[in-house]
Amino acid sequence: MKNLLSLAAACLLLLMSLSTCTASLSQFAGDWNNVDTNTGGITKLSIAVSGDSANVHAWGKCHPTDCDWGTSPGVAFAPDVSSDLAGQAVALMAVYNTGFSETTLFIKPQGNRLSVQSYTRFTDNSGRSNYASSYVFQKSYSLSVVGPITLAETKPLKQFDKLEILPIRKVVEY
Amino acid sequence: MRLVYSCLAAVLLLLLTATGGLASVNQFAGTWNNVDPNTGGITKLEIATMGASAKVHAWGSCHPTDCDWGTVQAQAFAPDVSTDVASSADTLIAIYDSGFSKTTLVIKPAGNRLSVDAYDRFTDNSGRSNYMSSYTFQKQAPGGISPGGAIPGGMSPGGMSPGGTIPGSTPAIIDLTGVWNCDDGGMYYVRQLGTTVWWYGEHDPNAPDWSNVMRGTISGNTINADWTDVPKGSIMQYGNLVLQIASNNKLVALSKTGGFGGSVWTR
Repeated sequence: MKNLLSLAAACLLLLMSLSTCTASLSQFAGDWNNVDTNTGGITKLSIAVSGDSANVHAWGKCHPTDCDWGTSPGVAFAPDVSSDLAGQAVALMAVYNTGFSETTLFIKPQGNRLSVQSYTRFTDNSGRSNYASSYVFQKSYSLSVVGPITLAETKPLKQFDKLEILPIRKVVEY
Repeated sequence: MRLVYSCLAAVLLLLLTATGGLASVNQFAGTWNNVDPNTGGITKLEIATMGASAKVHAWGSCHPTDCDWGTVQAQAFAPDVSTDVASSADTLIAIYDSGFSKTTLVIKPAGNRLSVDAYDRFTDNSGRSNYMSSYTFQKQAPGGISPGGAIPGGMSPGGMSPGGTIPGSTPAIIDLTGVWNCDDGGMYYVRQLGTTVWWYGEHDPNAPDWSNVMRGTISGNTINADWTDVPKGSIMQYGNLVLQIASNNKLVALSKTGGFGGSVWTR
């Protein structure tokens, strides 16, 4: 019985690693948590994929609960113009607009994680500096068989103490 | 005396290293050439900076001379919101709009080089895949020779750049899909997918005396193609064509076999 369980676990791990190696739009799909539990920036991404299109839902650090940035259409990019987007997407771009700033996310696979470059540009002539941030996200796997447990850590809520925490009011069609 | 020279050299080296490591908008300034001389994409960047602002001038690979994408205002990004952009910028973003595609360049220092990710997004509903490319650029020494000029076979599938065409050179992005007229009186329905081009041509949609199909491959600024008549019309011939892509709106036959009549296509 123990051997059987070990074998099943090994197969599951193999399947998980295989699926993350495939370069396709589906590799972006799922719920992703920032590996830095103390981040002052983006805490969570939820990416839904259908065919060759994607929607990116983002949350930023806020107190007492994270701010919901809303869902933005994710623009997928293939390695070249003749490649199939659904089968070979290597990057996603999503844009969020607060009304006073615009944040563009470039999302790329990094092993079984996601690397996210975030570029925030202020559009309100406030004199604040446009700034770039980098994040790494790991997938949140739910084990529904044994209950609603999330393997990835749940982020402790931190005080709203960074200017980069921007509640997003409007999603931009980029 | 030797010791003094050694110390001076060490200090100079230290200063140079420190300068190279400084993150500021100024580190982007200058003329930068793609380290890959055979690139089918961006060949050269000229970046001008003033204070916290920057302008990016880009060139894409074209034949016989590179295509000038023009100059756009770039956005500079600091590592955080409270940092001065002029003195600490670590990224530039420049966006080119060709009318049928948008190219976003994300430019970052990589040692003494620049790393550039280009994100091309088609906005013309042509069905072509958005795609990204990565390039590395090295700074051109003052008075250095720019690569510019012709790059043999230097054209990536689906084109390299936004921006217009330059007389006598291949368009920045080759985009031939559409309905064309020809000096043989026919209408040609052209579809381009990457470097492959198809068409269906006919003289009269109701009762054509001739109708043909073509499949060709783009190489540089020419299309090498096979064509054959099909039995919607009555004439049944076939042969080869070599077409010059004069622009995205003009094709010129350089050679024809099989009795092909047309010579110039426009739209």
